[in-house]
Amino acid sequence: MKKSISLILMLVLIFSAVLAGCSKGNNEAKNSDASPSQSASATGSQSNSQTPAPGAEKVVITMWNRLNKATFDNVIAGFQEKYPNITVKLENLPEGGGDVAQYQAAVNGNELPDIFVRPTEYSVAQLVKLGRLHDLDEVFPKEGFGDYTEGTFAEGYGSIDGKVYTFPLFSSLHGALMMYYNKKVLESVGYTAADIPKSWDELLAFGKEFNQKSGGKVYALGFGAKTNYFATYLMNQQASPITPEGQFNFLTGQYNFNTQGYIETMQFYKKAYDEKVLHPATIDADTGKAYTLLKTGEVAFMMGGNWSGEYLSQPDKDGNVAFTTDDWGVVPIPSKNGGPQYQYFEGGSGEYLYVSKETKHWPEVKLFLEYMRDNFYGSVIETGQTMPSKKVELIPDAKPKFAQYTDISKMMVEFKRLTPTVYAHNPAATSVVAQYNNYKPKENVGSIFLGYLQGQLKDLDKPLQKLTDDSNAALKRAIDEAGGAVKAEDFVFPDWVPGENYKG
Amino acid sequence: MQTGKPKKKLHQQLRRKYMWAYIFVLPQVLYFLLASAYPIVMSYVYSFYEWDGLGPLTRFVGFSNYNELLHDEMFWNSFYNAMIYGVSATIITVVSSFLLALVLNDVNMKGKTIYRTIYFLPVVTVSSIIGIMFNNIFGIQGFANQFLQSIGWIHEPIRFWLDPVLAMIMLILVGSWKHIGVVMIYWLAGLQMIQIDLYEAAKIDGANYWKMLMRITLPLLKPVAATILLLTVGSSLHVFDLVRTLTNGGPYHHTETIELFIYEYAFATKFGGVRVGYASAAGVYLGIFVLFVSLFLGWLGMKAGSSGSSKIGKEVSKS
Amino acid sequence: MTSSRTARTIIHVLLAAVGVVWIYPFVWMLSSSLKDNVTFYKAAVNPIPEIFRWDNYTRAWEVANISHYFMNSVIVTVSTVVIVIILSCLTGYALGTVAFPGRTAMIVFVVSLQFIPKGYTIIPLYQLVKYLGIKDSYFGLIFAESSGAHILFILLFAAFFSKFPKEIEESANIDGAGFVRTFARVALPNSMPIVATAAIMQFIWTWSSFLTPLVLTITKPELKTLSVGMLSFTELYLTDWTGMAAGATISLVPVMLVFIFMQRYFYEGISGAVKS
Repeated sequence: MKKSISLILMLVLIFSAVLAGCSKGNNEAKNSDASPSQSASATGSQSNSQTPAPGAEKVVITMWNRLNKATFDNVIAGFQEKYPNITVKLENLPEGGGDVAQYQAAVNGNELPDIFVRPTEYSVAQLVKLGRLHDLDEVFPKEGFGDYTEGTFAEGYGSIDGKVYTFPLFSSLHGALMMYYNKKVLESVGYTAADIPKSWDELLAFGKEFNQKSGGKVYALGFGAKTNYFATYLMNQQASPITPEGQFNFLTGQYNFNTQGYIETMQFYKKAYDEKVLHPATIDADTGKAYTLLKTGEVAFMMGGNWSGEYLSQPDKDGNVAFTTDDWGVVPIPSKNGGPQYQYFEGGSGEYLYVSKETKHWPEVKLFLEYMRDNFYGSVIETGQTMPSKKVELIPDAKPKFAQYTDISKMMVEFKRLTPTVYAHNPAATSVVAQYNNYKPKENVGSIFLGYLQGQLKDLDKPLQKLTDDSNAALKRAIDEAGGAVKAEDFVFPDWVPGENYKG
Repeated sequence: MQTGKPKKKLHQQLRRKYMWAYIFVLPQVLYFLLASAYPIVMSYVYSFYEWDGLGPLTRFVGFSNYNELLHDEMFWNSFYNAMIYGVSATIITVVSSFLLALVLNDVNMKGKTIYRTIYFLPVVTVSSIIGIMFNNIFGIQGFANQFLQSIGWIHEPIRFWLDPVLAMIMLILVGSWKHIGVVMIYWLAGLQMIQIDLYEAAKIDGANYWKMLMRITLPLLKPVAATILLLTVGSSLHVFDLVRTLTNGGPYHHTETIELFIYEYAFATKFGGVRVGYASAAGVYLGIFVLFVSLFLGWLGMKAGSSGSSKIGKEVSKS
Repeated sequence: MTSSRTARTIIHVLLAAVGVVWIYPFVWMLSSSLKDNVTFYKAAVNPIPEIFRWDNYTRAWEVANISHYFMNSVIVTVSTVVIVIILSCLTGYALGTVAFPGRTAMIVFVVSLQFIPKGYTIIPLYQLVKYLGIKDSYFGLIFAESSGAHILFILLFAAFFSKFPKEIEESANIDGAGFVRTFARVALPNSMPIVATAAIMQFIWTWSSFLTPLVLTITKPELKTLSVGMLSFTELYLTDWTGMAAGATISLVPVMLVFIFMQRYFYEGISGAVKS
């Protein structure tokens, strides 16, 4: 009895050891995978470096990426070729919100990797105040500021107290949403690009006809309603022409979600769903699924971001779907009356990198950042993800991989409006913003929209009002706890004109 | 063996024994104090603070978290969901497993072991992975919908996970499916404790199957039943793994149980901030609730146990 | 029980039919793991794949890091089982054979602590592990997983050892064996059935443990165990369903095999537990 137990246990152990050993041999420098140092660090030590081989000084820099997976591949490959003793270990974080928890735990526990893409839940000011960031003045001296788009290193965004803390990647125009269409699908039902609707009414009419003509097989529109940040951006962008005040009214210094803009937008999409304009899978789809819907031809249109073009030009992983760069085009999302729409932003850059204050390899990190500074921006254009932080005139040689990039870039410029920022009135507001983040409600317009679309919420007034009240209560609580250092008036800007870029 | 050992030597031997006993027990006790007792105490301490998990505990707020919870709609929602799941899953699990155990208890039954293994298999699987699998199987384009459509029972896919009632039903069914196997074993163990002669005596008296079931089996099983009820209710109120991976509280909080609610406040994986104190207070509420339910069921069990066996004893002694 | 033939056949048929439906999800899992993503999507009902895509397994194993998760699960589970068995066996032996002063008090204290509402202990546990500096290592996970009073196992061991014939113990004493020797040479070897039972039960519990590794491996994804790793897999590789099924198979099959081979001990253990 005893023998058979120990025998089986031993077999299990041997079996698993063999399997794990086999896989180690096959692993090479695939992005997030193990180099032999992996097992050393995994068994308990917290250091980031390998046991040095005799003679050579090998260094491993860890980096977290939550953007498109291929974003840094070229620049890392080039860098590692130039400096063979430095390895950049890239970890691609999960899509669709899975990264939030990981970042939070890392920030809270002060265990950030050497370099990381900005976590959405924290502001620069917050992280600097928490002492998590390494300043980057050596990489971005003041003389070089002019090479970058306006406001990239502005105080409160790129810099805090005059020191640079962010490595800008994408221009602040990044984040605009637009509508992608599958040319073949359109044509198969008998339409051309000229027929693409520009307003809500047109979209509804088009969608109904489209679905009928295709015999109910193909739908006009699909998108990843389940991905929260996406749903929120969509709501914000579509609500803006109807309610230019947006979700935070700088004239009153208060949140308001219970606006015509949000209500009408949500009702519109629900109607689109009920009338078979919107693909039924939308209510259960995340952004990844939306790409599949477009590529496999189940929808004609897909709402995506300015970064989606790059996804759509990549060959399909399975190789099963015949979808190439020539098969898609991009136009603005139909707005209520066909007019302009936008999202608000407060300045800085669209996406950026941070360096952890605790990094043990600052010289190597600095080398990498300098290399990136000189080589990355061109690849942003080439991959076609978005517009880089560096002024495009300074990178004339970079040619985008696909022609639609020009359309995308033009639209990006039109879809953003600059707002005032509380830090201009009171730099001490960082603590209030941090506390607000702790108390803010566990809903947002994106989650309410999803609930409404799925049919769980029958009435919009109640949840939107609750969101408004809870948000304002959280803000008040955070301000009160600051004990007078920050006042509610700091959030008020009487000279703001909703819907226009803030000049003050 | 020697008799008349000098008392001193015996005393010494005993003391040495005691010493060894303490040494043997020490590791577990230390481990327990550190890894179990300390967290239990702290889970109460945290509930009196407002804390985001960073740095030292500075904001003492007394009972304000407890108070705020009582006014929190979402807290009651999650409590209500936990109750629905707890009661339904318990009833389904306990009754189904009992029936299964009855059937499989028959000594003459062929293939008993195979059936027992089959029905037990879900128990040894990993809950979180089961959640992921079933989420897929019953998805809009998943196996279940395709199957039902192919045999013509439905024309449009059923939105299993998007309908609040349906999602909860599915959660209950999957949770029960996973647990029935082990409860069935408990019943089997209980059934096997009943002496065969009781049945023989009853058969001689001309009792048929139903009579035996009602007069002998059920009454004698009462204590076991109470224990089973206790265990099942306790574990179902704490369900987390399955909910997190199956529905993640969806659609729109309709399957969000208390454990999930607490988790979101403790680790803020969706959005909003971390509020450790708030989460801890909710945890205390849950613990207290489970305690009361356990005490109640335990009391029921003791009452049942004493009345049941004496009755049977009387019946048997009559014949 | 009923002796009517028809009743019996009906019961058998029912049991078998329900049984098939009962384990069908595992059949589905296995068959999906061998399909390619398009067939999976379009021909979900047919359990037999057109082509057998073994590469789903290699993909899950290598690309999706299932190999790491598997290894982590093995390390954490085996270590935890060993620790728990040692702790509960020693404690059970002392409790079951020596009526030392404070024995009853100890039992009462520990059992009653099981009944007070526990609150949400994972947070303090997390903080404790962080404080001890073992957070981002296997030690942290193993420490957390081995926590608990292990009442069940301790009672099992105690009950077993207390029924141990006193004569054997006393004859060992005469032969000059001390407390430890008696334990190691005489008691322990005979308690193997209980050890096996406890080992299996703890193995299954730890292998499936979810919340604890979920929380403790947030910053160190390399340490994720299978139950948590699968979640990351589905979030990262959003539409790779067949890979997911392969991963699920890899995760579930070892435990199922352990169980099937060690069934007997498991049932004995549970019956023993129910009786006490």
